[in-house]
Amino acid sequence: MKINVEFVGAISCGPHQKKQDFEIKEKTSVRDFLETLHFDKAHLDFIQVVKNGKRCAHSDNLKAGDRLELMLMVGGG
Amino acid sequence: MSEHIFERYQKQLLFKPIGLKGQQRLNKSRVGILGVGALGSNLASICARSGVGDLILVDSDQVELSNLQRQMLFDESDIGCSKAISAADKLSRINSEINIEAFCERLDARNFKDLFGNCDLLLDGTDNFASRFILNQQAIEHAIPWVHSAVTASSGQSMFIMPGKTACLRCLIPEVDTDSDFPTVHNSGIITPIVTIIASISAATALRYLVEKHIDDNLKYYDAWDHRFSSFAVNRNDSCPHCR
Repeated sequence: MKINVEFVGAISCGPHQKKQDFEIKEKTSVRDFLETLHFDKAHLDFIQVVKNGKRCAHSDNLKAGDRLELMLMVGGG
Repeated sequence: MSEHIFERYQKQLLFKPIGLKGQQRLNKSRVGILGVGALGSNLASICARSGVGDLILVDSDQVELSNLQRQMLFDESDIGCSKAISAADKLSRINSEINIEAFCERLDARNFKDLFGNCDLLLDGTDNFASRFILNQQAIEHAIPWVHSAVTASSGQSMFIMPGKTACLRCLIPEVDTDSDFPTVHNSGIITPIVTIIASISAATALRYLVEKHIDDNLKYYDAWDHRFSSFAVNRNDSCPHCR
């Protein structure tokens, strides 16, 4: 199934396009999907995920057509 | 309020949600700012110019040349001086009718009450999560609302935290032992516009809370390079070790 993902801000400096479709298996959780993106594992907990306009937990399962926005919480000041 | 005060805040008084009553509330407010670097100096400047009556500035660092790119209250003559004291000096020249106290200290659980115990609101101008988690836990223990802000590279976030009502910082992200592998200005750099944008978003949240007691539970995330803004509600985490 296909989902659409937008990498917002600091997280967009990776190998992916800023907006990209991904093909994933049924019953894939948000966390499972994040782990396929090759981010630093220590940063995964700091990624905020907005699914179809609402913040969701990493344990949520994804469905075909879901639209994700991924944002990495930053720490400077 | 004196005629002089009417003149100073003339344009802000014309803004209906503030008006005379709101201005009086700002003048009676006591706001603590932890960290007077990039975010903190912008937050402090806006609070002082807006007429927040009592400002408490806490920062143990000194001004360095590399700070001047983004820390708006400082200039070359401040290099080597205490950020808190230099900022207080500049702010008192911007608004001599408010009370400003400066402390060259590091915040911990022992000095929190002395520094910030009687504040109406706290503002996050720190540059690391370790300090923010101390602020988060202490603000919850003392039931003082605060506004979280952070910036790195071209991105930043802002969130209002009302103990017992909104999600706290620990509801949102796990505690970290060290910031060494986390994106900060030291390893990812920073551009100046994101500092002023996030400080302005947080300052607007702060002013609205001080004037109207408005509670905004959305996290605001902005990227200044792509001009991409996202705002979303954050629910409290039932298993949060800080605020459950």
